Amino acid sequence: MGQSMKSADRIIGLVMAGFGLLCLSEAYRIWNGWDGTGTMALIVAGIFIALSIIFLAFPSHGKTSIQWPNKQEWLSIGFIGGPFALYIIFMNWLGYAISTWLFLAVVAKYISPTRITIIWIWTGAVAIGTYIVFKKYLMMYLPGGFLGI
Amino acid sequence: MDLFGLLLQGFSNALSLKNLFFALAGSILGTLVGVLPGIGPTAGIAMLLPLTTLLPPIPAIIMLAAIYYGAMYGGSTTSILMNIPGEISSVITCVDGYEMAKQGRAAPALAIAAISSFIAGTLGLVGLTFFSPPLANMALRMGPPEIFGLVVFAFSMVASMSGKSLLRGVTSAALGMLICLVGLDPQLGVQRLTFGSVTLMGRLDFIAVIMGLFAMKEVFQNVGIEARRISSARLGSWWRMIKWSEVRQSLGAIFRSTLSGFFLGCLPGCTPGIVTFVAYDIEKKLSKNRANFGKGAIEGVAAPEGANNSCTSGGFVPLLTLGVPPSTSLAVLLSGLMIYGLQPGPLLFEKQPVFVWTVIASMYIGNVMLLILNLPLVGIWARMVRVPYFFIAPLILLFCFLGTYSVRNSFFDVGTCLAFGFFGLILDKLKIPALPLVLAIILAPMMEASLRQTISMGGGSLAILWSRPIALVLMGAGLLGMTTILFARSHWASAEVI
Repeated sequence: MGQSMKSADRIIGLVMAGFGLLCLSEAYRIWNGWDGTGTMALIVAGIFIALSIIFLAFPSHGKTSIQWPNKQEWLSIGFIGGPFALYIIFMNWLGYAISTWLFLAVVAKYISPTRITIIWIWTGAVAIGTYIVFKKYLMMYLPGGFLGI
Repeated sequence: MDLFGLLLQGFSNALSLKNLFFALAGSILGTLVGVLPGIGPTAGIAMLLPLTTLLPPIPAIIMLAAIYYGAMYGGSTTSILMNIPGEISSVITCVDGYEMAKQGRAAPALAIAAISSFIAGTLGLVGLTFFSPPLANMALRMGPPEIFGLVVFAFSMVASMSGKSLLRGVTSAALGMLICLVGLDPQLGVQRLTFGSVTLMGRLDFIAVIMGLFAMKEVFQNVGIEARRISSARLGSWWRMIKWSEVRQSLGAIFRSTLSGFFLGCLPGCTPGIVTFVAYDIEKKLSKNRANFGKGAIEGVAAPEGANNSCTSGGFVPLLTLGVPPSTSLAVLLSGLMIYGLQPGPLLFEKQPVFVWTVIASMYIGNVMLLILNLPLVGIWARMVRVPYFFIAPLILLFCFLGTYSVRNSFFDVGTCLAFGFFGLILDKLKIPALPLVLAIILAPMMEASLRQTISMGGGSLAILWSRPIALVLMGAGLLGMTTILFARSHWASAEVI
């Protein structure tokens, strides 16, 4: 059973009000005339405040509900997003090729029923292949890591 | 010599073996640049510019131009197959293209993208050949008030991109405008919403935001939940993959998007990103198949791809006749021209006719080359959707990394992509559409610049707009379009959501 649209709209309304106040304070801080920096911030603040009033005063009344991710979906998000975050954090130290190989292998192992040997082979091939294309041929800067490759 | 004579002379030069080779090399490189997410035409031209300095001017510019329009051709591939828009101009192709791929119709989607690109690109070149001087004069009449009117008109598209709820569409657009506020003010360099962070001064990278909202979110949504393949439909030979009826169904969309793409492409500041949204919106309103838009309508692929490519040709009008590059990609190309001492502007056609007409003729040839290159590849690309998703998902994540990191070599951008993947999921759950957000990201910087310039021109007031008929007509058309949609919606929509 999900959350009702009405309560979801109220939360959205509060978030919009927060954004509106943030933009308003920023517009006030940097204001230097109508053709200046603060104009756009003021316009965006106005839109957010108007939206917050509509969401809070007239929330949806339909029967549909908001379906937040279930436990399995949260786990999936964690098992994809977590390794991706670690991949970014450790890439400078491990270098592109090795960190990509490890990252792809971890993600593929989580989502795939394939044997680990096959996973190691194809993720290794992808890591080396993209390394050659992007670093060697397209001369893109990619971290070398402790091995310097 | 008359126009046809000059064009024929251009063809005779462009058909020399050397020029043909560089047009082919540029087309192949451009297609690769387009297919690889993150390396858009701007980065592609910039990366290969030093290589072309070793060549004489004509082959060098032929090659750079071929990279540019080749990248526009290739940009649709990952959008259709993996929901990865490598650049802003490919975002709208994801909407119906990826839906088609999920329904096992990746091949027709890719084929119509190639056919539409060819027709629109070629017709755009006809426009460039015959109507450059009057169009350049028209573009010169578009000052900041007119550009502001155009942006207001384009913002009215939020209404048709909002799905069931206009309120949620406007919310999404407001979030896009908020994203654009972050960073240094482009005109005065004042910090906005940076909270003292040096990293945020460089703004949030739009490619990272878009890749997160589309590709990263797609992986979060599908892993462990959806089918094991994007599609398991069987595929035949590439020439049997698209039916004549599908091509016929798309012809109207292709011609309309060619017109809108070409004329908007002539305007300074009107990037292919905006043009694709406008073409999609026009098609959504005019098509007999409008109910199917967003659910895998073939016209939804044909229109943005056509507009994208005719805009490419349109962009050469102000570049060659006025020396004004309408987009960043063409600004890099302009620097290529200047390296060779060629000064684009009104006198270029008179002083360098051989150069101009050879380059234009080579673009016609390049378009044919791209069609010949791309159509047989359709079958190979389309087979990717049958690859099990556990092979595809890690690749999508890797392309998200490479695509976002390559823009500024910044891990912060990659983190932004991850964060927006999660944010996209939340938006999806709250039934807030992502497209108006992307539209706002494209339009807000243009809106801010034109609005501030208009106010400056009016001495601190917007009253100047009343004396600018083009601006008024554009704004009126936007308001009319929005009102029409609201009126129609009040008849059609259910009362589920506001």
